Amino acid sequence: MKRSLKIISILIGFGLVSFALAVIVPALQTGLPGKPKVAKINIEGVIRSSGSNGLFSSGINSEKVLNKLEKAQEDKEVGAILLRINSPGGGAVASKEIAEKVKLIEKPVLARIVSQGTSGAYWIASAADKIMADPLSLVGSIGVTSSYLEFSGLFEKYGIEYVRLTSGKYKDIGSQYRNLTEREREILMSKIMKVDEVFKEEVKDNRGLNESQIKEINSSKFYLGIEAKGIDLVDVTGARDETEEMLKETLNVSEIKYKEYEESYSLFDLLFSTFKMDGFKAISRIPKFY
Amino acid sequence: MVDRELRISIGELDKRASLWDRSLAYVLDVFIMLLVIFLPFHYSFKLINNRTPFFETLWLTPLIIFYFAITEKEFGSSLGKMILNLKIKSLKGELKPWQALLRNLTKFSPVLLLIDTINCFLNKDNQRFSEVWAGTKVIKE
Repeated sequence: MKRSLKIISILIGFGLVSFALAVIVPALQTGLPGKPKVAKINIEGVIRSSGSNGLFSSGINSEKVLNKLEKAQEDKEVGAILLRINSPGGGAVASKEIAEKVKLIEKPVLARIVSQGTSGAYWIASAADKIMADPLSLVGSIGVTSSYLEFSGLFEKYGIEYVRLTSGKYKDIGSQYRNLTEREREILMSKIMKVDEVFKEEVKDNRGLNESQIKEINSSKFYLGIEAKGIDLVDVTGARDETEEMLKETLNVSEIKYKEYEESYSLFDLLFSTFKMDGFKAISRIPKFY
Repeated sequence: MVDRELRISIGELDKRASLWDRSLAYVLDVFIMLLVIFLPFHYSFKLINNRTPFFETLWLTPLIIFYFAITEKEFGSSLGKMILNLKIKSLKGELKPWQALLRNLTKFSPVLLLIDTINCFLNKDNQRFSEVWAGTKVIKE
């Protein structure tokens, strides 16, 4: 072979190998195709609606969970989703929208309750195909609570007066500067009961609970994982190893590989998240599932 | 006896490659590698994965070593050296594949290559450490 032809052949060969590496390397990094992975999504801390937390604040932002669920749904590498739950619950809307999204996922979804999966967090878990909970974890507390600090007595003591200027008589309902009237209490309670009704109905449908089980959860009490299994609030009790076994069975693989989606924070989140912490949001009229 | 003397005299005629020539040849090789290895990888990766490769470029390291080893074994010098009329000479007869590979092994890391090159300033034939171990030197034709 002529020398120049040989040189060109070698250079083309290197170019082709480079191209092949560009195709192979991503596959090698993420595992070979054909072996589905498990998308692990953490639901840790108080569940909040979008925009209510950032890098330095605690809790979980529902918007970010929704984005991760969408990514996992579209991700061809992902064969199943694991929701790792360790949360006391949170906002009604935030919990509901995550639970609704979980129900729309076409891949198997397993919820693993680590040490706490109560209230809104349980609502989310109930939407999964299977719930696994640690035998000593806290599960349930299916109900709604709304509370706030009321300062009218303190104001009175220091001679501070609350000047009330409203266009409608219930406009400042739930204001922490004055006592609730009986009628206002009734109105707020009716809202709480309405949310409670929707919540319990959803859990009942998601878990296929019978009347006696519904009666049991109506008290909104919490259960240990092992007790929750007895009333079908969870499917299996166990910890990490049992979860992996269940996932292996679901995906028919011998080894579980996880995939996690990183959270992205904007500069705005970075700068202002510290001002949005719990202390600044102690007073709220939005029903919560704590 | 005559043969032996003849060989010695040929050996003495070898002109060692200057550090300047060698450095320039290396820059030319880097440019060639950029064209035939790095750019095809970069653009194909970007096109396929919709993102720029970063750590993934490390996968090209073996190709750098093979580029030098294959061209030096095949043509007696890499393409950059060829342009500047430099040639690899084996001190153990014909250049063997293991020699071509060994003398280029440190090229996977710029730091190692720099340490390896220190010997060029100390050795009378401008040999790198790895060239001494491989029994090769670079000469000007």
